[in-house]
Amino acid sequence: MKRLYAFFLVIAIALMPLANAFASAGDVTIDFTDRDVYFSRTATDGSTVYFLSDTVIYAWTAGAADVTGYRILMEELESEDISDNGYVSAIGVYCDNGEVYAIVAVYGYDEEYNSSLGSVYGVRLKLEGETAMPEIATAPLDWEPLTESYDYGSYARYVNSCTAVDGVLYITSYGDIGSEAFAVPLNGKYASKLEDITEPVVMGRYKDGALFFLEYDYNKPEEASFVAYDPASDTVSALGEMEIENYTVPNGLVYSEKDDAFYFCEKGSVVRYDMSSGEKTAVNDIIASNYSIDSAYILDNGFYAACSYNGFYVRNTDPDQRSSKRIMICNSVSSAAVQKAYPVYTNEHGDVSVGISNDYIEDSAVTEAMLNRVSDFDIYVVSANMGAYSACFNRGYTAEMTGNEKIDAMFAEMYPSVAKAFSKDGVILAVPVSSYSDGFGVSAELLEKIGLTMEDIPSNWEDFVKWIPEGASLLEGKDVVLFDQWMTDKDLRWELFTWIFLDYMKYLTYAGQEQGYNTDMLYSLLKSVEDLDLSPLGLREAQEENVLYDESGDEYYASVEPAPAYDDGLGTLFTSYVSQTSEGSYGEYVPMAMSMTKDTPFILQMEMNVAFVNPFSENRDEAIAYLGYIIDNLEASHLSNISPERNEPVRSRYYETEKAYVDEQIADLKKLIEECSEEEKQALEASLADMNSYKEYIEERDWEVSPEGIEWLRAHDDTIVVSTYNPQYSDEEGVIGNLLSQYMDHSIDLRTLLSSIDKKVQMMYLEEN
Amino acid sequence: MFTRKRSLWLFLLPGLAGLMFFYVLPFIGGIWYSLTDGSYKNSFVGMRNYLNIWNNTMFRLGLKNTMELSAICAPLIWLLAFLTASLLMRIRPQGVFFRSGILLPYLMPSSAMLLIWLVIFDYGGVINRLVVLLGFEKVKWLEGSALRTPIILLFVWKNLGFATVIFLSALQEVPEPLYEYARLEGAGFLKQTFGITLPLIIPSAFLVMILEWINAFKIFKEVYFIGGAYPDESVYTLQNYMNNMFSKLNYQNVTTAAYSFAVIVFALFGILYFTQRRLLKRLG
Repeated sequence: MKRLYAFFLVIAIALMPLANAFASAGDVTIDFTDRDVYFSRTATDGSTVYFLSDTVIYAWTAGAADVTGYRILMEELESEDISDNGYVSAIGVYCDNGEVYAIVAVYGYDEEYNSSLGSVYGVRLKLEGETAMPEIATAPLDWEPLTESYDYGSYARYVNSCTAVDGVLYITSYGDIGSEAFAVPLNGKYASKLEDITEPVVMGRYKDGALFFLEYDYNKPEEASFVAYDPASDTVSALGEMEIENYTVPNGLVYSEKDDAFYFCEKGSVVRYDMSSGEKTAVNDIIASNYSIDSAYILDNGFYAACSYNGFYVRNTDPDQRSSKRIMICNSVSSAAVQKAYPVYTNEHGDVSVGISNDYIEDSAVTEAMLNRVSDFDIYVVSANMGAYSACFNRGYTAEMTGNEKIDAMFAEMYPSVAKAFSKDGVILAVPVSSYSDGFGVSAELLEKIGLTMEDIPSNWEDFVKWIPEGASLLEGKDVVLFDQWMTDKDLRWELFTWIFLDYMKYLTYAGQEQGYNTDMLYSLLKSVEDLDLSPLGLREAQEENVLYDESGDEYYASVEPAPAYDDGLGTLFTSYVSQTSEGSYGEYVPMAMSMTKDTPFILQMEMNVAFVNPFSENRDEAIAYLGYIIDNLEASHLSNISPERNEPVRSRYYETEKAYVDEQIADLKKLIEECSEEEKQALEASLADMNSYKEYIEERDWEVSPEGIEWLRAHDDTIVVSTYNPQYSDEEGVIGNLLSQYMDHSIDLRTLLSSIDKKVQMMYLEEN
Repeated sequence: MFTRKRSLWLFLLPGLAGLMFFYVLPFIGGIWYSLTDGSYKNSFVGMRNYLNIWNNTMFRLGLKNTMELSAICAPLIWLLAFLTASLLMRIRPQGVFFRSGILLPYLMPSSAMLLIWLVIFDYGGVINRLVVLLGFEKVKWLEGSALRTPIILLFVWKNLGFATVIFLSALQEVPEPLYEYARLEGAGFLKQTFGITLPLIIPSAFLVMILEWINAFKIFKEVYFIGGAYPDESVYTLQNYMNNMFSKLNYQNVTTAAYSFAVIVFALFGILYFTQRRLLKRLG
C-alpha cells in the first residue's frame, strides 16, 4: 500500500509542472483580421459577449472557439414610424435581464433626400439559427439630448458606450463640447445629461449597482480621475486619481467586483490595478496594446474579455495560472505580420503565452536591456535605421536564427544585398518584415500633355538641374508647373539641395562611406543648385516671416503676405514621394531612377523594419519559431521587394469586394435605366458611365503588387541597398542640421559646409574602422 | 606598531570591502572584457582588441588630445595655484574672504558653469568684444580648434581653488623663521621659493600635480556639452571615443581603451612618484 501511495505521489509531483505548462486555462483568441467581421458596439450579459454592426450581430459564449454571426432582419421590424421613405440604423447595443437589445434609430427622408432622425427604440434581438429577429421592446426613447442638427436634417450622436441599469440606459457620447454622459429612461421619459460627470472617456459597471467613470481632460493630460455614480441617489463620489503619461489613458478599462480592482491592457499585458494602493500587477499576456481595445468586460467566471477591431481576447485573470513559458514581443513599428502571426502561433503552441507591446521603444531602452542582459522582450521588431539595432547587429547581440526552416527558405530566395544586410558570415541574425522606398517621380499624364516622354527628362541630378529652366519654358500656357505651386525660389532651392544631398547619402551606402562628403561630385552638384537661375519658373519671392504666438503661448511662423489661393487646375509635374518598389499601382506619378551623374548608378535604397531575437531570451527557440509564423504573414509586396523569385502580381485584398460591389451597382443601374422615365435616363446613364470608369480604375489600379511595379523593380534591382543606421542621417545631436542652417543663412559657404560635415562623418566612420 | 590591530582592521573593513567590490574586482574583471570578441558569447580573442585599437585613428587622436590637454592644464593649474597660494599667504589673515571665495567655482555645478561659458564665449559675447577692443578679429571660440581655449580656461577656473587650498595648507607649515633668515641673507622671492618653499612642500606639490593631472584626464563633459559626441578634432578626447563606443555596445573597445590608458597613467604616475622620491632623498 505504501508503495502504491509513493507511486502516485511520484506521478503527481512529476505532473505538477504540467499544470503550468499550458497557457492560462480558458484563454481564447479570435482573430478578426482579413475576415468580414465588423462591429461598432459591444455588450455582455456576463457569459455572452455581443458585437453589433448595422446588419449583423455576433455572439461569443463562454467555451466557444469562434463568434457566431446572426443577420439582423431589420426589414421585419414593424412600427408606424418606419416607412419606405427612410431607413433604420442600429446605433448601440445593451443587455438587460439576460437579453440583448439594439438601440435602433429611425430616419426619414425629405423631398430633397435630406435625412432627419425620427424615433429611437430599444429593440430586442431574438437569436435563432442564423438570424436575429428584431422586436421593438420600449417606448420611443427621448433622444433629444443626443441629437445633432445640421442645415439639412439631424442625426443621432455617436454612442461610445451604453449600459442598462434598472430601466435606464446610461450612455457616453462625444459631441462638439467633448465627451458627456447621459441617462435615457427606457420607458420613454425625459432623458437627462449627468452634469456632475465631466469628460468621461470610459464607463463601466461598478459595485453595489453603481457605475464608474474615468474622467480625462486632454487639456490637463497628467491625471485622470475615477468617479462612481450611484443611480439610486443620483450622486457622484470620487474614487481616486491615476497618473497619465503621453495622453495614454488605460485601454480596455473595466472593474471587477469580485477582486475589487480594475483591469486594463498595458504594454502587452492584462494589468490588475488596485485603486487603494496604486499597485499594478500584470496577470496575463494579451496581443492588444494601449490603443486598440474598443471595450472590455469581466465575465461571470472572472475572465477578462477585450474586444478590438482586429480580434476578441478572453484572458484568465489568475496570475498563478499563467504559463511558465512566455514570449514578449516589442512590436515597436506596429507590424501587421506580427499581429497576424499571433492567433496561429498560440493555437498551435498552447503551452506558450505570447504578449505583444505595440508601444514605441527608445534606442536607450534596447541598449540598456542588452547591457543588463535582461529578457523583458524576447523579440524586438524595430526599424533597421535604429541606432540600437545597428549596435546589436554589429556587436553580436542578436540570436542566431539559421536552422529554422522558414527563415532559411526566405533567405535562400532573397536578393544577395538584402540577405547580406541581415546576416553575418552566413549566419542569419535578423528578419526583414516590411520594406518601402520613396523617391522622385513624374506625372505620366502631364508629361504627355506637354508633349514630352520619359526619355526627354534627364535621369541624373547633374543634367536635371541644368534642364530645369529649359523645362519651365516648355510649360507656358499649359496649366502645368514643374514643382509645387506654393514653393518660393528659396523653398525650391532648399528642396533641390535636400533631394540631392539625401540621394548622395544613398549613393555612399552603395559606394562606401569612406568616400565622404567633401567630394567634387557633391560640391559641383550643390553648387549648380546654388547658381541655378530660377527666374524662368516665375516663382514667388521668398517671404518674410513673422514669429507669432498661439493661444497656448507656442510660437509659430507666418508669412507677412498670405500665400495665393491654391489653383486646383494647375498640374504639378514632379514630386518626391513616389513609391519605388513593387507595392501598389502607380497612380498619377511614376518613379524616376535618378542617379547623381551620368556615370553613377541609380541606387534603390529600401527602408525596412526588422525582427530580431534577444540573445538573452529564456525562450529563444520559441521566439525564433514565432518569427517563422511572422514570415508566413508578411505582405506580398514586401516579399516581392526582397525576392526576385516573386514575380506574380497580387491583387489588393479589397479587390474582390470592390469588384463585386461595382458589378452589383452596374447591374442595378442597367435595370433602372430599362425601367426609368426619359427625364431620369440621362442622369442614370451618367452614373453608369462613372461606375464603368470606376470599374476600369479598379481593374487597372487595385493591386497590392502591381505588374508595372514588379517590372520597374526588376529593372533596377542590381543596386538595391538596405537603409541601415546612418549617424549623419539620423543626426541625433543636430550637428549636420546646425551646419545646414548656417549654410542656408549664408554664415558658411558650400565648401566649408561639406568639409565640416565630412570631418564629422569621417570621425564616425574611423571610430570603428 | 599597532596595539589594537584587530579593531583597526574592523574599522577599515567596510571601506576596504567597498573598494574591493566596486573598484578592484571590477578592474580585474574588466580585463577579461578586453580579451574577448564583444558578442554576447564573449569568446576569447587574446590581444587582438589591443592590436586593433592601437591601429585605430580615432583612439590615437583621442589619446593624443587627452595627453596634450592634460599636459597644458595640469602644469598651468599647478603654477597658478602655487602663485595664488603664495599671494594669499602674504595677505593673511585679511585674506579670509579670498581664501573662501577661491573655492566657489569648485563647488558650482558644471552645467551651470558651462551655460555661463557659452554666453561669454559666444560669437557676440563678452570675450569677442574684448578681442575686438584689442584690435583683433572676432573668433568662433565654440567651434573648431578654438574650442580648446575655453575648455582649458574653464578647467583652470573650476579647479584652481582646490589646488590653491592644498598649496595654502602646505605653505602654512613652512616655518616663518626660515624666510626671515633668508631675507637677512639677501635672498629674493625666487631664491626663497626654490631654496626654501618648494623643497619643503614637495609632497603637497606632487599631490597637486597628480590630482590635477587626474582631473585633466577626465575632461569630457565640457567638450561633450559644447561639441557633442563628435567635436572638433582638436578637442576629441579619449572619453569621447569611449563614450561613443559604449553607446554602440562596443564594450570591448571601451575596456581595451581604458586599460591601455590605465597603463599609460600608471607609467606616468610611476615616473612622478620616483621623481618625488629622488628629490626627497636628495634634499633629505
